[in-house]
Amino acid sequence: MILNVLYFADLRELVGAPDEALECSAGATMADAWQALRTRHPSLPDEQTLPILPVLNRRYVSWSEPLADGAEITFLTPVSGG
Amino acid sequence: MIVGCNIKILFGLQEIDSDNLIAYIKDDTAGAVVGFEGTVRNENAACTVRSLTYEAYEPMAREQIQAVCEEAATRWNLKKIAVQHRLGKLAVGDTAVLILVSAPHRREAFQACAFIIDEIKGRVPIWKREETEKGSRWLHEGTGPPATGT
Repeated sequence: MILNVLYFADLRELVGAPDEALECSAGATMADAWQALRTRHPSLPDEQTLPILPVLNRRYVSWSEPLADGAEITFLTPVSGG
Repeated sequence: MIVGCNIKILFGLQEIDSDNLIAYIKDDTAGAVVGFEGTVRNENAACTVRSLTYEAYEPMAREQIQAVCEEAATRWNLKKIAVQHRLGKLAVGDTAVLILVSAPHRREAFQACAFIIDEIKGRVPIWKREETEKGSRWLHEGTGPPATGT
């Protein structure tokens, strides 16, 4: 399946692009997608360096959330609005 | 509209027109209007701040602000809520966010306004990049969504 990955703020700068496609095998979870992205982009931080919040189709989800083809996913660093 | 409460959310590059929002928020059934205005401060962590640049995951941020306002409207008896959050580069003194709440009585208006800004700062996907005389960095202040994962 093909996922659409979005990046914001410091992760966008680390990756050097606002979005990209990611191919994952059936049954993959948000944790699997994040590991695949960290392999592709070694500059992405581990969760000990910076808390990362997984988001699927504009909703906060758990790392074990299963993915479906065409999903929009992103991984957010702690927010700082206001 | 949640149980008689109207909600208005503005989000983007445009400057905040506080007069327009104050005119919107007033209601003949409300005895209190409470507001919070977040402005760009000239100092942070012993550094002189030159500007803040805001970025958002815009569709999700709109939905999250709407959800925060709806939650406030279910917890308190409110008449209207208005929230405007700016994006892009802001100078010291600029207003980044304005929250207005009208309610029949002041206590619920104060509590709802504090709740809304706290929730926005905690979980709405907006980030700011701080530029100081020592360089720039993304700030990370939020505590994340509630444990329910919503």
